[in-house]
Amino acid sequence: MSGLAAALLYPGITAIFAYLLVAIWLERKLAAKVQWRYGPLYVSRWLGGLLQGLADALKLIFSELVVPSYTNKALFTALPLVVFLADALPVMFIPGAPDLVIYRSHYGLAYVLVILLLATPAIVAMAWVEADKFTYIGALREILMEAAYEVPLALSLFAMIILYGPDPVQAVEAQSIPGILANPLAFFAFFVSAAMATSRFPFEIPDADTEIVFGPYTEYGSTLLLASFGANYVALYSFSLLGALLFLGGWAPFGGLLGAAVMLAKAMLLTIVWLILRAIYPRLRIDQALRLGWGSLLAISAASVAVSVVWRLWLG
Amino acid sequence: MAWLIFLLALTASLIALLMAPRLLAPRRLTRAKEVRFEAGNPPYGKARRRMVMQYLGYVYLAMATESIVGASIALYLIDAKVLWAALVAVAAAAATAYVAARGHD
Amino acid sequence: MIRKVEGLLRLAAKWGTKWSLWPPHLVTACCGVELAHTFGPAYDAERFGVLPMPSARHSNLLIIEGTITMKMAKFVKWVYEQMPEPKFVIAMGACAIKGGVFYGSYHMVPASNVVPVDAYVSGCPPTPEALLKAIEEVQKRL
Repeated sequence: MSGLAAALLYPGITAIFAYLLVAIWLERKLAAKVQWRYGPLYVSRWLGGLLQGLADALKLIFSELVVPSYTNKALFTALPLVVFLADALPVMFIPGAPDLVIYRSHYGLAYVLVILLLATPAIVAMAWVEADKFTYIGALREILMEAAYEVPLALSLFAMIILYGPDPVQAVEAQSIPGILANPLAFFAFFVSAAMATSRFPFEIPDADTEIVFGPYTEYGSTLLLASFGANYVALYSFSLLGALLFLGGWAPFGGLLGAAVMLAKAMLLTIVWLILRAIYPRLRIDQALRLGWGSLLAISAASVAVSVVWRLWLG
Repeated sequence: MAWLIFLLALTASLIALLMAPRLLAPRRLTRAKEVRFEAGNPPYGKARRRMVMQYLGYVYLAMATESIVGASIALYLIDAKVLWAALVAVAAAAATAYVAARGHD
Repeated sequence: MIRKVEGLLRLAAKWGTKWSLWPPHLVTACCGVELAHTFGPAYDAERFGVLPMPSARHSNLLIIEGTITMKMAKFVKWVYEQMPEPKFVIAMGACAIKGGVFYGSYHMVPASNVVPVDAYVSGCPPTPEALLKAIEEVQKRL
C-alpha cells in the first residue's frame, strides 16, 4: 500500500510533475524579485501567479508538435522521454518518508549515482539526433560539463556512503547530527556538482541562451520541450531529495506523514538556494568551469572523503 | 511491484504527453518547419562541423579517474574490508588528476 | 458529452495560450530598444506571462520591431513560418504599419504584406505601455 502511494503520489509521479510546475514558477519569481520586478502575476493574482507553470504546460500541450523530416523521427521523439526517465529514475531509490520508498535496495545510493551520471549520454544522443549546429555545440559542452562534475559528485557521495552506508533508507537513522554538519566539505562538493549537473546558473553552459540559442534543446517545441528541458528540473528534484536525505537529515525529527512533509520542505529549501543562483551569478566560460571542477572542487571532494574516514575512526 | 507501477505510469504519462499535441493541436506543415533551425536563416552548409577539441584532455582525464573511483566504490560496497585499499586508490587517482589538470592549461 | 469535453479542452487551450505568449528574439529595427524596456524592471511584461525565448521553435508570439526592409522581410517570413501553429503577430511602430519616416521608400514593406498581423502598436517608437496594451489586446482576442 505504502509502495503504491510512493509510486503514484510522493516521491513518485504526482510529486515529480507538481515539482516541475512549481520549480519553474519559483525560478522566474525569485529572479524577478532580485531584479525588482513582479514576475508572473496576472495569470492568478490571488496566488501570485502560481498557475503560470500550468498555463505554460497547457500552452505547450496545445501547440503544434513539429518533427522535422531531415531527422530520424522515431529517435527524435523518443530521446527526450529517455532523458526525462533517466532524470526521474533516481527517485525510485530515494525514500520520501520512513516507509515511503518505491524500490528498496541495499545499494540504493550507488544506483542513484550511476543513474544520475547516465543522464548526460542521453542528452548528448538527443543533441546528436537533432542534427543542428547549435545542438552540436551544446552536446560538446554537455560532455565537458560532465567531465568537470562527475568525479567530485562520485567522491562526495562516496564520503557519505562511508559515513552512513549505501542504504538510503537507513541513512537517516545513521545521522546523529545532520550530514551538513558532519561533513560540510562533502555538502559543498555535492551542491556545486549538482548545480553543474542540472545546469544551474554559474554553470548554465550547455544551454546558454545568449550564445547558442538553447543548446541541446534548440529543435524541440511543444511537449518535447517540456520533456527535454523539464528533465533538468526533474534532475533538480532528484538532487534536492538526495541532498535533503543525506545532508539535511531527511525526515529526521518526525516520522510518517509529518516526516514526509518535513523532508519535502527541506528539499524545497535546497531547491530555492539552487534556483536563486540564477539571479546571483554570471555564466562561467567552459574552461573556467573545467578548471574549477578539476582544481578546487576535486580537492574539496577528496578532502571530504578524508573527513568521513576520520569520523569513522573516531566513532569506531 | 511499486517500481513496476512507477515505471509504467511514468512512461504512460510521458507518452500521453507526447500524443496530446498530435491529437489536440492544429497542424500546418511548411517548408521552414521541415528544415533545421538556424536562428532565422534558411540553413546553409553542413551541420556537422569541426569542433574545438582543446579540452579533450579533460574528457580522457575524467574517463580514467572516474573508472578508478567507480571501481573503488563498487569494491567497497561488495566488501567493506577493502576500505583502505579503495581509499589509497581514490587518493592516488585524485592526486594524479589534480596534477595532470594543472599541467593542461 | 463529447462536445462538452471538446469545449472544455478548447477553453483550456485558450487559457493556456493566453497566459503564455512567448516571443522569439527578432529585432528588425530601433523599436527593439523599447521592447527591451518592456521586459525590464519598470514595465515587466513577464507579469502577463510573456517570456522571451531564444528559438522560434519554442515561441508563439512574433513581435515585429519596427522597419522591415525587403531584405529583412524574407527572414521575418521565415521565422514566422518556423513557429509552431497557434501563433500571433504584433506589428510595432509606425514603420511596421505603413512605413513611418521611410514612407514611400522603394525598399520598404509594411508588416501586413509579409505576415497576418493581429495587433498594431502606433508610435515612433511606441512606448512600452503601448506594447503592453497590444499584448493585452492579443490576450483579449483569445
